[in-house]
Amino acid sequence: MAQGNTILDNDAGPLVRLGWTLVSIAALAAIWHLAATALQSRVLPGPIEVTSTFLNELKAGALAWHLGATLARVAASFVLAVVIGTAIGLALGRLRWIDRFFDSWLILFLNLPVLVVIILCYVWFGLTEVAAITAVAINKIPNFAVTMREGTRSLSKDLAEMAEVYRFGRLRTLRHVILPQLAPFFMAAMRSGLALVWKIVLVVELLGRSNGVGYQLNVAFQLFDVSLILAYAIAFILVVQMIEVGILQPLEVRAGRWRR
Amino acid sequence: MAPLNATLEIRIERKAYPAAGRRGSVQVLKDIELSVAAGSFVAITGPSGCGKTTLLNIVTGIDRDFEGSVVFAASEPHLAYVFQTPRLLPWRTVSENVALALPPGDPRVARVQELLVRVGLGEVAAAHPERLSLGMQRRAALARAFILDPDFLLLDEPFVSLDEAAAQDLRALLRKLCSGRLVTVLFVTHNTMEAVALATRVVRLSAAPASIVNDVAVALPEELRTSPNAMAAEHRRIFGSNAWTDGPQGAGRDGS
Repeated sequence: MAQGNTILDNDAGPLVRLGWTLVSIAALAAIWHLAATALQSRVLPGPIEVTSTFLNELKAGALAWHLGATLARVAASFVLAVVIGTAIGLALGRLRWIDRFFDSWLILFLNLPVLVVIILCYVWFGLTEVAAITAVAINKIPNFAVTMREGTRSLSKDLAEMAEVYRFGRLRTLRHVILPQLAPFFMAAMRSGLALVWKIVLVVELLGRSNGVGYQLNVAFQLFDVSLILAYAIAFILVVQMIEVGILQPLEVRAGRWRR
Repeated sequence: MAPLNATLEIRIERKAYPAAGRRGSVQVLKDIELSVAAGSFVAITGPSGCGKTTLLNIVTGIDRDFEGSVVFAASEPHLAYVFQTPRLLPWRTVSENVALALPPGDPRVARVQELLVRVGLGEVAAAHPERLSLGMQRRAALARAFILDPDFLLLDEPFVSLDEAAAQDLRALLRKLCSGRLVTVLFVTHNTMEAVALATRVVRLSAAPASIVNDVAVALPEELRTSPNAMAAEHRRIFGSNAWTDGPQGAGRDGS
């Protein structure tokens, strides 16, 4: 996400970059429009038709309702995964015997197919909201734990000694010494985590929920309504980008201000 | 020479590290006994890797895994440690780094800026440490130690890997900061001329396992410490040669 303009970042101002983005999106839409006009097929609607479907869904309130349901699930399962994954990662990084014992568990969960977790959660807990959110969180917790474990292992012993000699105490050591060192790992885990959670949530909704973008895509699939599928896909991309640019990037810039 | 008014008694019978990759252990320190008088400036010299840093780590209490004892006369001595590398927090500004050495709510926080001006960092108080030169970072590390008004100041080769002019400046700064207050200093260095220039007492350690080979008072009045001839003569008296580093020539400069 938002990686497309990294090469330009170094030598261009924000306006130039924005210009390039707009031109490239316009070009993509033009190609799409030409292809749709040439094919004249029901399964490839053009950008104009998709836009009108998008606006209709928006006006009817369906778009907001389903996107809202998806967003709420993403938020709930993400928070769950961050809290539990971070706690596990810190424990694994700090205590060697815990790491040795749980390492094989971690490998098992890391390699467990996403679909297996989702199906098992629905089978064991029923087609409920709790099952859906649990399934997404379980898929993400191992990745978070592994990243935070690496972060904990790389904590500087030099700075820990400095904090001890200057009697920082637990709270100030955590705030001024440990958390700033973990921040880059945390941000990396957040970004890769969010990218993954978005995708898993749709599958969870498709398999066992009666609202959300995933559910709506399933309905459109059964009706063979490609226009609706594309309208929701675009809405989805817009929301993800807004979160990326509006929340994650500013956070990252703030956390990295001290770097040379 | 055991002063009567010893403020610190160091007695290390044995200090060993587990050997890397095999059983057993490597002994670094052996039978070290030091009584340190209040207000004295003790330079500890010795070959690279002989255990000088380990000795300081034991005195500060970072390293508690040794046989022996470290006893301070005061019940709660204020201790500051200037490490071999500056060890500043890169994500905090210079003044935040200095202020963090104080306990929360300490009124001395109002004096941080004044102290930074004294050490020549008044202009860069709000900068992050990685934007500064190594010499400036070392000044910040000195400021962090002195904001505490320490009873004991431990310095571990604090001016290493600086060019001679910058090291000279920092030595003068250290002397300025120490003057006018009662602070007891343990100063580890392998630069023996630096030891003569600063210390009131020089303790030489042998190669590992280190024990004390020589323990001499520096008989050089303050006004002669800038005279090259007087310094060279005193250096010859204490170290018996003109070489400025202790131990084999060309040994690594950054040894522990």
